[in-house]
Amino acid sequence: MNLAQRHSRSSIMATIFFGSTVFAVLCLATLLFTVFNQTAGYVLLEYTTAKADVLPLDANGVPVPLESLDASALNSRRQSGRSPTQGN
Amino acid sequence: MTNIQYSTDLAGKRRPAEAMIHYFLFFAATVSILTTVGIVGTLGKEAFPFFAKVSIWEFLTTLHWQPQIDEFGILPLFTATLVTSVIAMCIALPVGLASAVYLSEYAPPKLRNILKPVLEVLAGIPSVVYGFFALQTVTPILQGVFGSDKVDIYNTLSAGLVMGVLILPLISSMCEDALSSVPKALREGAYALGATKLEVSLTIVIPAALSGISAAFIVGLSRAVGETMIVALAAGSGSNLTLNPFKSAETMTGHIVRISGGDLSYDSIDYNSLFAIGLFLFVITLSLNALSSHLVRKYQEVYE
Repeated sequence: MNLAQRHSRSSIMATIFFGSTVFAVLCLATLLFTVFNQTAGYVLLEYTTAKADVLPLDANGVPVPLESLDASALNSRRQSGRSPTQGN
Repeated sequence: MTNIQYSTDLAGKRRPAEAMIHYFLFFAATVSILTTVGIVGTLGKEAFPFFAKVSIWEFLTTLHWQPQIDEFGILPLFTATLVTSVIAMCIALPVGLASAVYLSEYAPPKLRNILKPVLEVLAGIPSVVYGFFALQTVTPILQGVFGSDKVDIYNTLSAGLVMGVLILPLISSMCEDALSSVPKALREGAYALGATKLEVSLTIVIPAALSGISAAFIVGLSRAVGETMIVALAAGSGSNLTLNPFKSAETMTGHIVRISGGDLSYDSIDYNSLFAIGLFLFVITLSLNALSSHLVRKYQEVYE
């Protein structure tokens, strides 16, 4: 094998060795990105999606503004501990 | 002259702190040995009732693991362990060794000082994170590539691939240490004879570091065999005798985790079977460690 071939083979293998190291670092980067995306990404999604309708519904399923409820209705709603999306 | 006088004076002097350190180190070594002996003893004690009911031959050759109908064949669990470990080693060995060669022989010192710690960060991430990574990222990618009808949600391929990534820094770091410990004089001799960097790496450095590299491979394999959380999360539950990496299969460690977390009556054969599996795992890893020690001794080169 002549000198040029030996050196070209050497540089090809150097690229492969470097590629292996880059692959390993990319695996780490992908893993960390996934972890951050699954944590902070979820919070971002939660706060950027449209807010759910928090108004309670009357017997006919029509939303009732909270300010139109009297004190006892508001109090019973608070004490029931229902989430706003659970309706009346 | 003064120094000689000084050392002679110290020769007969009692040194209580030295003695305390000596006893403390002896105590630490004894505790670690006794702990190992205790673990093995417990494994053996709990596995003995199992092997009193199920013969070792039956345990090793039966094709099904179904404790409900008294079928205790380790083969399906062992096959799944083998599949995940082989896949992991197919990733970790070539990539780990190649990156070790790059870090040791090619990378400039500044880059090596950055890349090596970065790679070692991979080894510090808890394996449960890798398990979720396999389940939530790698499996959907595999399903996208090969088709969701072929790749189960839980499959040994994604578990094996991610396990390979887990073991990669371990092998890379150990191999890099072994390669770096080869004396520079050997490299310089080869360069003086006109060898290229690749020839020096492949024909001088790697053969000289073969004992360390083989030890790294065996330690990586032991890690793959004993790895639990990735396979418990991503490989699936339920024993399945298959070599198809797209199918769900339960490994030995995964089975132990799943069963020991449920309602299992103490002293039942199911309970004892877990210790039998543990003992089998212990024998495998002990054999691998013994092989590693043998290879280290066989190929070890001593340089002055």
